[in-house]
Amino acid sequence: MTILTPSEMAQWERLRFTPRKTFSARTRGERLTRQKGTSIEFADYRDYSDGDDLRHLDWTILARLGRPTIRTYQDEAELPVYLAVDVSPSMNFGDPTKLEHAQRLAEALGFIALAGGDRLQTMAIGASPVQPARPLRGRGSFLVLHDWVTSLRPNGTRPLAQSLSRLPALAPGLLLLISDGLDPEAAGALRSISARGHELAMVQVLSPIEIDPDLEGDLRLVDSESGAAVEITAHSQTLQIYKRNLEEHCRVLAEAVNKLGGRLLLSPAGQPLDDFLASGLRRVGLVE
Amino acid sequence: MEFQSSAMLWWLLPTAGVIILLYLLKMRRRDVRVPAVFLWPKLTADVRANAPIQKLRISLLLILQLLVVALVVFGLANPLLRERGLRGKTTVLILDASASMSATDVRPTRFEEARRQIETVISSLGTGDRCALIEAGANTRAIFPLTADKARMRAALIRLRPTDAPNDMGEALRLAAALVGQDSGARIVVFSDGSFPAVTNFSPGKADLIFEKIGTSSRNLAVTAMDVGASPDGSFQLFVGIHNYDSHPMATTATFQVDGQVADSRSLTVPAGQTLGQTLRIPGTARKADIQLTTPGDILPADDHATIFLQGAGTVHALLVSSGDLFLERALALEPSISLDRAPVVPETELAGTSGAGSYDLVIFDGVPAQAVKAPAVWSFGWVGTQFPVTVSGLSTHPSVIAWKREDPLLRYASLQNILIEKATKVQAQPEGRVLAEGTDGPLIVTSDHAGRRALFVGWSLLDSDFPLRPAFPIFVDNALHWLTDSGSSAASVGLNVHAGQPFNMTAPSLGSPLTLTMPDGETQSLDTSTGVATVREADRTGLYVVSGPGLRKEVAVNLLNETESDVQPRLTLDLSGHAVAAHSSMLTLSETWRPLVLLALAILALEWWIFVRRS
Repeated sequence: MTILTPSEMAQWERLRFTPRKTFSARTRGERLTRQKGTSIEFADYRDYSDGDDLRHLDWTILARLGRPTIRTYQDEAELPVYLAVDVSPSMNFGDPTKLEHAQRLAEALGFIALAGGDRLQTMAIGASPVQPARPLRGRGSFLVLHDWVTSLRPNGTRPLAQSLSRLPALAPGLLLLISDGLDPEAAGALRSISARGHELAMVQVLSPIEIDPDLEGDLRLVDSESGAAVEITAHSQTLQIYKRNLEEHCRVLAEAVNKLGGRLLLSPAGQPLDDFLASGLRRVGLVE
Repeated sequence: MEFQSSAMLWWLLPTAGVIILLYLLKMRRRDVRVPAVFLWPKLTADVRANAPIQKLRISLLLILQLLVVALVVFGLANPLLRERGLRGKTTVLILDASASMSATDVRPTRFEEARRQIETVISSLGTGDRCALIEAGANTRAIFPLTADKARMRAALIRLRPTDAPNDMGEALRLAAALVGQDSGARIVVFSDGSFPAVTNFSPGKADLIFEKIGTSSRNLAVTAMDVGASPDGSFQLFVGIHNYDSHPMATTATFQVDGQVADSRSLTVPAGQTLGQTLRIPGTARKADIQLTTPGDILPADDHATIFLQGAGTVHALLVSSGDLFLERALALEPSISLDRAPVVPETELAGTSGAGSYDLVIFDGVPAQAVKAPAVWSFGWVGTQFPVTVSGLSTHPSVIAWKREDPLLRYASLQNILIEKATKVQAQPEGRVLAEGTDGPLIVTSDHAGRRALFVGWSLLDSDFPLRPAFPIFVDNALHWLTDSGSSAASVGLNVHAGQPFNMTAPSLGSPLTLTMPDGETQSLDTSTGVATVREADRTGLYVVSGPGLRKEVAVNLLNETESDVQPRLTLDLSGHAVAAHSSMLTLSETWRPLVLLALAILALEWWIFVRRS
């Protein structure tokens, strides 16, 4: 039993990621690269040199100009897509929980990658250490993806920023990060992703009761990750300040992502996939 | 401020300490797990305390709660404030309503100021306090008895009016002492300027006596005397005494009127504390004379004017020769046209056979042997003299009145039925004598009107009978005076001159005929003539009263002419039976203030609760 329904799978299999960057990979695939290769996509002309394949010699130009000229073509390679899901305890919040919503998004995004012929590698952010799974290719790997998604639990021990800064070395690719981003150091940690040559596409998942909390009275708020506590008296003024802080945090996060050339999508937990596709993925141009 | 229970203030320490201790307790908050706490502001407001100690943080609620506790403890200590008014379980107020209280040195008048102060006293009465009010005016009367009903007090107080009459403060004080003299802690408060004669035969008993002085000035110029005498040429000589009660000379304009026409106007300056006498010759045909003083700054108008009727007024001089008979003296005093002198024996100059004319129109022998006198009219009770139309034949014991002439002017409306007489002089009437009352042993009342002399013989001494206690007695005396002096009641007579507050009688033309009294302010009042004689007791304002009825119209000039009342200088002490009572400048009493404190505490408690709910 998959998270995606058959109709959703039929709709989403036609989608392709459209990264702003081009990435080269050792394995041939369906994505054109900047490198010259053997695809059918014409790239340029250049003078013949010894050893060139005569099949690419442009005889017409040789006959007209008497100078041997070689036609070059773009290379095609597979797109490395990294699907990172935040499994820190803060994701276990709301109804449905943010993690449940993240699992649904992860399966959908992973399916797009598999259906598009991209190389998909999954990893749980927050786990210690962060260990990418083996690459998946083709629709045939969807069930493996599904198994990985459903196996995710909110048992991370590392904060988001710490996990991101300690990502293992990976070939540059499109990094799809699904997280609530609720770490004051998150914006700084995102720079390390860009520094590694990845293109970042972050989906920020927030619970509706996180956006508009319904708290009242004298409370002791306990951080689900660090266990730190804050005593508050929840009333209109307190809630007003909280909302202002949340908006400011999200604004800083979005600004950091934009500066890195990435894209940030906000998806409230429980948002239908259709909405996520229309108002999220398509709007920011992450898929076509 | 004083505290009735100052020891209660010690409770402030433990109660405030408990509250502060509660604030030292830390709040036990509900744990809520959240994704991240860094977004939440550390905004707390401690409104509950139920966990172990924490550092004391000053909050608005703490301040309000301490304030409430302080107010409640202060209320329990019963703070007492000094304020105007009277406090006490039982208080009798005496309001001086005499003429001097109409002085205007205290605006609008001393009487109104006294009324205002009494209103203050009534307002300051606490729950269960009782108060009575006695008016010391022309008549002494209890306005309301001891009561705690403030509405009743105020309703009665507002109806009071000042008078132009002197008062009997002694009677008012004795009445007050009778009400509360046995109550220790009770108060008798006199609201007065002290312008009344020294009080005798008074003791406040266990009650405290307070004199609330009203008035500030003594600036008054008054007509204190007014009389008229006949001159040999047939004219009248009017005498007026004008007294200055102030400590500075006062200038005035005295305007004399005769029969309503201005006869003279004089500018006078009266030295401080002196009396200036003024005379005026008036034609013998004149009927009435007036004097009006116009004095800048004068504070008492009631004694600035006086009126005198020239005929029948002050012309009857009577001498009462008596060893002392209160009943007769009282009855004679009711007749305003009589100028009465008293003596134990007849003065030598008044005896018949001595040189010179007599000074009296009437000599009354009461219980003393009658002597021959020069006066044209004589009246004797029990003793026979040569001037009476009877001869003594012995002594009668326990005689009964068996017949009397009811229609005679002397006995009209005066019933002699069932009079108890212990002993009487047994007499026989002489030929000129006219027997008016016949007893079982002979004539009891005999008159004669012979050779211009009138004599009235009553066969028993007043104190040997119950006649003075009978309603007929004052009527008989009034009839006798009119008959003996041929004055008073006829319709043709001019008018009466009385002092303010002095009652006067008016004989009705016929029994039960309606008589109406018109007062100086124009108000009218029907008089009771069921006994044939109407007694007016309400002539307590100066001015001209008119008694009118079928065939009768009689004017009565009511004047103050009272030196005690005109002396408006506020007294600093009262002489009450030899005890000096100093005046209070103000009535400072201790009043309880715990009620507003408790109300304020409740209000603050409500505010504290509102803030608490709003924050919760």
